[in-house]
Parts: sequence; structure tokens; C-alpha cells
Amino acid sequence: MSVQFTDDLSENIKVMQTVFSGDNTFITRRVRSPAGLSCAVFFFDGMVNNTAINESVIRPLVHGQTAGMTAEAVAQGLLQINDCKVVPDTDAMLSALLYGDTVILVDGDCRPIVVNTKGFSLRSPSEPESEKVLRGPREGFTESFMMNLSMLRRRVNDPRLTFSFARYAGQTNTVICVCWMKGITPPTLVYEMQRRIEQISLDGILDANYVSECVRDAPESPFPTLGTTERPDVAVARLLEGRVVVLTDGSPVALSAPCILQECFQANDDYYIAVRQAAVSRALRAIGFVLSIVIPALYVALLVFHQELLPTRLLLAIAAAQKGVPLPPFWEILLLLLVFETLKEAGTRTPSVMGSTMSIVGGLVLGQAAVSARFLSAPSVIIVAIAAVTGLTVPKLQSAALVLRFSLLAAGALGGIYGLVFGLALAVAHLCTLRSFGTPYLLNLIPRVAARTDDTWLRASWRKMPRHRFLAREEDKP
Amino acid sequence: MKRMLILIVAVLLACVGGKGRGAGDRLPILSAGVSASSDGQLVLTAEAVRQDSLEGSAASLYLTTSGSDPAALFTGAEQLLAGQLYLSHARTFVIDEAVARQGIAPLIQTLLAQDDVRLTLRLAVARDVTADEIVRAQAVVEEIPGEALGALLDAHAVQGGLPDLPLCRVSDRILSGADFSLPALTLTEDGRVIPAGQADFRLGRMTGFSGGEGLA
Repeated sequence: MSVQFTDDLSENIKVMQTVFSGDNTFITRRVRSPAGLSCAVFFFDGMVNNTAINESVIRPLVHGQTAGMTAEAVAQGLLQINDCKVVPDTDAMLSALLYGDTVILVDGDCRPIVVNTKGFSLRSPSEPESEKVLRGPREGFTESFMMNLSMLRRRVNDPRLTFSFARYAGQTNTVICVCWMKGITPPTLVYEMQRRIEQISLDGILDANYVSECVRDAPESPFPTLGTTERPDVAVARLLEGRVVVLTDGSPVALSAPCILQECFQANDDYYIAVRQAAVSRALRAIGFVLSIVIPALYVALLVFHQELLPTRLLLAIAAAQKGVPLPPFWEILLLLLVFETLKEAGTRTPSVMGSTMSIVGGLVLGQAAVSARFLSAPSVIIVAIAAVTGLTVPKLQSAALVLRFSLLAAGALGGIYGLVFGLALAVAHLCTLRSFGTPYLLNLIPRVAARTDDTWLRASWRKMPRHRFLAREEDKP
Repeated sequence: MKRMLILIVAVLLACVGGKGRGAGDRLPILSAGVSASSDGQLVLTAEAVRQDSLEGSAASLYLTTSGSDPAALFTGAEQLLAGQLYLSHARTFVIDEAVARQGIAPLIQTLLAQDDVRLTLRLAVARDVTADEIVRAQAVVEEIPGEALGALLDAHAVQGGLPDLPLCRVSDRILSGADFSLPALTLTEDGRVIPAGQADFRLGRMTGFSGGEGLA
């Protein structure tokens, strides 16, 4: 949408009212000072700070001592506000107006003044539900773009921290900010991210995931090739490692690139608690993920193809539990996994008040009743419960765990342990081919692909790890 | 992703037609023995074990078949079970003295031909009693006699009291024509199984017992 202003204020007001005709939140305030200065103030109700408009915009204009002032003169000498400028570009003016700024048109000047009076309601920062920590900072990003940037700036007191804005040219006009550390982040990485963002072709961006799906490598892979976080401390750590962080207006999720598999097993607590405790926790997460994807398939493979590998007592106990159960082990496990995924999905969408009731009915009552009714066997319920619980240890890989769990189950049911090993080999081969913005996905996890860092499978103590950046150049290390 | 999902669904559907066997579909054999009957036939006694509920204990049941040669014994047992004789969990195979004296090579060959027999299966010779009696003897502590029998042979093999010759080594000795000895087992007056020296073999045939006199 494009508008053309003239030197005639009445005409300009008509133009603006035509553009926003039918919008009841659009406010036009005509101001005339006793000295003859005539202006029009435009803003959207609910988007602005009324005090700032009253005290810093309208009051100075009403008391204007000179008639026929230019837009520059009004902006520089009359308005008592910290951020105002003449913006001849009417598209930029409209965009700012829609985002909570106030536009002033002066009689006799066709150029609008844009005043920063944003004052819409915002959620205050709180700890992200998905990234809670036992110890450490509890601040999380919000939907407010500038507040998110301020959280980063407050933590990195370094002029090399750079924010580069790109306004996405869809219907939402969403601002996307690429953040990086000059001299630490490889320029090619910044360029590549900016290039991919420019190539996004959507009619609107409402969340960081819109950007993520458009710019990530290997979009069909279940493994995340773009990091996400809702915590400013994590975003800063990634900036210091030489990565690029992308913030999207309206989303509390920050994206980071490149993303490697190693970081999926890391938790914020790893860096805020004792190193040995962190090492144990990280090892448990890795073991938990492997168990989560392998255990159902291994159970089916052993029962269907390799009963000789089970100790006699265990085989007898499982046989006793399966007596009278109409379904073979594969279908039992498949059915239970589907029920678990359904319960998980329902739990995510259910209000927390009902959540506990649903988990008791869905998990305990249903499971117990199914076993008592001989519809399912107790070992199958135990196996799926183990897979479900261990799968929650690595939330960033839940999507990958879901796909791998079902794929390996099918492989195990078809080919036993041979099928399971074949499925795992395919998964590892897929991981070997993955790259995130040119960085191998298995960086630091296999011997020949290692970066300059002591933070790999386990992390070293902070005292021994002053240089923990995995992409930063040698001369930029602290 | 779409292709991957289609692949997963296709493989899952393929599993529908696959073997849906569960743990309860097979009857594991814990121990077995071959005896010679009075009419010259061979008799196979196999101890199978089953557990009907998680709260209950495992119970042994005995299958008996007869045949003219070892292969016929296994075929008969499988016909009796209407399925495969599942020997994967078998730990002990007891041979009657009379059978051992006739030569155990055909029996060893038949055992090796079974795809689920472990090469660590322990062989023993029944002394002064039949193999059937040894297999059916009740255990003192263990609830499954076959397990108790296997544990007894393992323990004595480790301590050096009995020859440590599992199926694979016996086969090797027979093929190479070497002499070897197998553990001998007998019953006490109260029906417990105890070691009774060893049975000596030459060219696959038992020549006699040595050691363990007076134990029973």
C-alpha cells in the first residue's frame, strides 16, 4: 500500500483517513497552536503510550510559538521525546504507525514525522516452561522484540555485538533480527543466514518456526538442524561460540545456527551446576535417548526372533504375563506407543487443572485395566513406559525419537536384532550426512570431526575451559 | 518427511503378515535324557517348564517319546508338541549307560543338527540308574530340576571335580577320534542327583566308569 502526501494538511488527513477507513482504533488528532502552527497527529488506540503522546507530543505542539515550521524543525526543536525523525518513505511510515509509533503531519510539509511512542501491552519476562533450570538465570525471552534484544545487549557488554534487522515483506511485515559477534562469528555464516532469510516466501511470519522451516538445512530430517532457545543466557552463549542468533518479532524463540547434535544433549543446568554432576546428567540424557528409541524394538526383536537370548526365568515370566493376551508383542507395543503419543498430545493441549486427572485416568487407570483385562501384557506396558520416560530426557530430540522409535520397531519386528542394527546403522549414516550451515552435525562427537572445544560428550571444568568456542577464530578467544 | 512416513507405515503394515510369535508360544526344554527301553527302542525324556501366572511359580512337565534312532526321537517329540522342540534353554542332556555303550556319535550329530541347541549344552551319563530317572529327579533347592542339574554340572566342572566337556568339545573329540570322559550322575537313596565319577569313552563308545565308587 502506498500513499502520497502533499503540502495541504487537510488533504493529507483525508488520505490517511481513507487508508484506514473503517478502523475504529485509528485516531486522528488535529492540533493548532495559538501562534498558528497546524499539525495532525495519527496513532492507533491501544498501541501507544498515551502519556508520551500527551506530554511529549501534543503539549509541545499546542504550545508551538511559530507558525509554518517544517517537519525537521518540529522534530528537532519542538517535540520533547527521545526518538523522533522525519521519514519521507511513506511505506516505512505506515509500517511504524502500525507498530505503535505516532505519525505527525505538519501543515505545509508533505514529509511525515515518526515518533516512537510504542506502548502496547507486553508479557513480562518469565522462566520458559520448556527450559527450566534448578540453578541459574530464570529470565526468558518474551514476544516483545526490543525487550529480547535488550536482554542480549545487557548480557554482552561488547561493541562487537551486532543486530541486523530485516523486515519481512509479507502481509505481517514481521521484523527478523540477525545477531552476531563481529570478529567472532564467521562472516560467511552471517551472510548465508541473511541470504536464506531474504529468500523466504510466505504471506506472513507469526513465529520463529516459520523462519526455521524455511532456512534450515535438511528440512526432511527429524533431527533439528537449527537450534532453538527461549533463554537469553543460552542465546548469548551461542553468540560467544561464534554462532548466529535469529530473533523474530512476536516470538519468544531464538534460533541459532549452526546446530550440532551435541547441543541437543546439553541442558542449561550443565553450565550452572558442579561439573561432575553435569557430566552424570549429560551421560544419563544420552543413555536415555538411546534407550527410548531402542527398547521397544529390542523387546519385540527378542520375543519374536531371539528368545534364546533371554534368561530362562525372564522368558518364563514374560510368557506368563503374555498368557491370554490376544495381541502379539509387536502389535502390543505399537498400540501402546500410539496410546502414549495420543496421551502426550492430549496432555499438551489440556489445561493444567485437568492435566493431572487425565494423566491418572489415561496412564494409571487405563494401563492397569488393560493389563487386568488381559488386553495387554504388563511387560509391554513397562517397556513403553521406560521408552516414554527416557524419551523425555532429551526434549530437543523428541521429534527424532518419535520417528526413530517407530522405524526401529518396524525394523526389529521384520528382521529381529539384525533389522534393529540395520535401522540404527541407517540412522547413523543419515546423521553423518547432515550439516547445519556447513558444519558437520556430528561435530565433537566423533574423533575425526572435532572443533576447538573442551565441551564435547562431557564438559570440562570452567577453570580448564576458558576457550570453549567451537566456531570462533583463535585470535578472538578471550 | 512424507516419504519417510509412507515408508514407516508400509513397513509397519508389512509386519502385519510377519510372525507374531510371543514368549508363551514355545515350551522351553531345560533338560533331556535318552534311555534304552527293554525292547531296544530309544526313549527321550524332556523336561519342559512353564509358568501360568506372574504370581505363581514355574512348573516342570515331562514329555516322553520313543524311536529307533535319535533323529526319530526328536521328530516324535515335535509331533507331540505340534511345534519345534525348543532346546535353546536346555543346559543338560543325560545319556543312559546302555546308549552310551552303543556309541553316542549319532546322538551328537542329531543334537548338532538342531538349530537351537547351544554348543555349551552339558552331556552326562547316568550311572546305575536310567537317564529318565535322572531327568525326573526332584531338585532340593531349585524349583526347576533342569536348572538344578545344569547348576550342579557347572559347579563341579568349575571346581574340577567333573570333566568340563560341553557339546562342542565332545563333538570335536569324536571327530578327532580322541578318548574323552563325560560326567557320570546317579541318584541317592532319597532321590537326589549327585556326581558319580566319570564315564570314559573311546572312539565315541563308552568303555566304563571311573572314580566315584561308593558315592551313592
